[in-house]
Amino acid sequence: MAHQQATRTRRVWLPAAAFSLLALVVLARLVQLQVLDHERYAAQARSELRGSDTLFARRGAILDRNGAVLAISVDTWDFYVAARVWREDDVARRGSEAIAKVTGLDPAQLREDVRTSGLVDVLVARDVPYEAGRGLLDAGVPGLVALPNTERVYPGGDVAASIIGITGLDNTGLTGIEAWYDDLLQGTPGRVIFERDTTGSPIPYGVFFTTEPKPGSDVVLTIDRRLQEIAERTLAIALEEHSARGGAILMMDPRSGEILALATTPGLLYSTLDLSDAAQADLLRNRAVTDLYEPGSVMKVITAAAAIDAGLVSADTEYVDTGIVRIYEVEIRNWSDGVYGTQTMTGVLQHSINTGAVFMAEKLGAHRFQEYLDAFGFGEATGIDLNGEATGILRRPEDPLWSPVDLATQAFGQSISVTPIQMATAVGAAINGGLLLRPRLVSATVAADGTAHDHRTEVLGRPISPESSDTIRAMMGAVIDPGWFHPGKPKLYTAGGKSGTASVPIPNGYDDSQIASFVGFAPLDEPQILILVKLDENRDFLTGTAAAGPIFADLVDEVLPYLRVPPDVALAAAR
Amino acid sequence: MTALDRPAPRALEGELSLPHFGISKWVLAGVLLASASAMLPVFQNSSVTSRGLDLQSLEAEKDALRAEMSLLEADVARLTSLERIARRAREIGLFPSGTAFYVTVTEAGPAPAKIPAEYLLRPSEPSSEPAPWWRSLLEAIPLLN
Repeated sequence: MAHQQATRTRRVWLPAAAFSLLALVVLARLVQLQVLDHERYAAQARSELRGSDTLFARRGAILDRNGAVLAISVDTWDFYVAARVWREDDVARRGSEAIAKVTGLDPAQLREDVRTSGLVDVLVARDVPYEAGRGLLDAGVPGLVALPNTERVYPGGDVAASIIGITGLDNTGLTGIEAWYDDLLQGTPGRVIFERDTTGSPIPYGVFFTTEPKPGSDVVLTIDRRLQEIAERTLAIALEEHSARGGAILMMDPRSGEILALATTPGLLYSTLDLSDAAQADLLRNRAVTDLYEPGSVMKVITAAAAIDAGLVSADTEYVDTGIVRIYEVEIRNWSDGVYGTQTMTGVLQHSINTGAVFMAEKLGAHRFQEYLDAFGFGEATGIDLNGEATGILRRPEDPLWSPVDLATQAFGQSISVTPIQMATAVGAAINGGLLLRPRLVSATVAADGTAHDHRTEVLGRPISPESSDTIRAMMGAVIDPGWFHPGKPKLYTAGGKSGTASVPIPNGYDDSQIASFVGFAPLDEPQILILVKLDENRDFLTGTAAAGPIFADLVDEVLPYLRVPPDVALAAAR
Repeated sequence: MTALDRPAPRALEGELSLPHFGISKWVLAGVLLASASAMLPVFQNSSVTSRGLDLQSLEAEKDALRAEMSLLEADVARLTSLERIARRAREIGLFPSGTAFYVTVTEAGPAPAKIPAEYLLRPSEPSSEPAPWWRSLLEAIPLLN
């Protein structure tokens, strides 16, 4: 039987050719996918398969000088929902109701947010308390992804809020100590890379790489929370009593430059903070560091210190006050147009005589006076550990618009703008033996492994000699204890101080409002605390002596016993 | 008699042997070795997975404890805050002190209380034994004195 021989017809070779071509196309595509574009597609696959997250390090705590916690981080959860999983209505309903129970959110709104977000993972709740979030995780809500986070809490409430500052949602410090020491507090964030499933959840035992986060260091402040609370309470009462727009109370250890308390108003309060209100952004700065004012007669302390240190006058040098000094057709008068006749330099401080301050400044001369202002740190930031410090404004002899009137007015604290922290630092140098110390808010940092790094006192210079400092201290003591009643005299302690009542400058002149201030220290012989009280635009128009002086006196009598400094008024009287 | 000539079965002759399927012992050993080799990674993987689970569980426990610790720290801080202490003090009837009176004493303070003699350390008495003979030699060397 003969087989019919297959002939090479088109019905055979056409399909064969077509299949061959198809095979070639497939082959070419495979070559393209697996050889030519291998890296690109591999990378795409990796990005699809692998998820990564930043693991925030635990932020260090902020403590007061005695170890009391002022700010600390606690663990929380940020909850995301995988939108794909919630496409099924039943799943979304069950999931949203479970989340709503813990977070208090509206379940319907939650479902709507997830549905309309257009994101793969939708953030539904931030900073959920740890325990509550743990319960939600254990409940196995479909599509729920939880990322650990931390939340900043302030156990002391609003105490020292203006100093501590705030952190942002990404745990970065935005203001205050939180911002200045952010690198230390924040630690080093870690990173986790994992394989995930189609819902975006990590696959158990999938490829998993983790860089462990390194916790941040704790920061120990020089602030004493008890003194801070006293300062804030006292300032609030004083502002109400004198109908003042704002103010500051600063307590410093003049021997070390450590700030023991720093209260400012207006200022940050955690209890009422609402960052969605643009007006509140103005509260985030610490005005004792960022805002300038003309110090008025407090500056006479610096003028006297300079003149005495230069050997041009002594505490007992006499001059005759006629109540007026004329400089280039400009008349400079005393406060309240007083005329005091023959006065010593101590008397100049006691009566706060403007013409006496001009007398000392003119003896120094413009350039020498300027050298002393520079040496006391005016016109330059003190370097305190807070952001936004102002340098101050003063017209120098080399400035084109300078005139001898500037020398005269600067001598009694007008035509020169300073920050409260600058003024306190300068007066501190005048009474602590002549050393200008950098003011500081931090005494130590403690790493997570317990390694402590102490911040030491930093000497910026010596504007005056120890002998001159002794003289100034005695002169300031005579201001507070002149032999007649002085509102700034503490009941229990010897002290020294000087008041200032300055007009508020506006463009082309001065406003009707005033700033009343008082800077003093106690005890007189061995100062352990320096206190600056400043009241802005007090509507009762009391002077610095009358308004701020009693606040200083009361603070000394309240604070020094707390610091275990024995009262010395009786001892001084016995001597 | 023919029947008597047949050879006795092996069992009856006292010889025991496994049924022979035509597989050599070496092949059997190879199969067993291969099976063991194949099962080893399975057991290893199983063990690693089990340990991994334990590890993750411990990690989660560690995280939970750490979180609990931070919550407790915050609680302690809250409980020792000045505001809370002041509130609690008011609740139990305490109130801020009034003016403190300080008395300056110019008289010298009382003499410190004397400690009974039996509690004091007795001064060491000089030894009655004569110094050794070589001490005088040492004392004679100028640089040693």
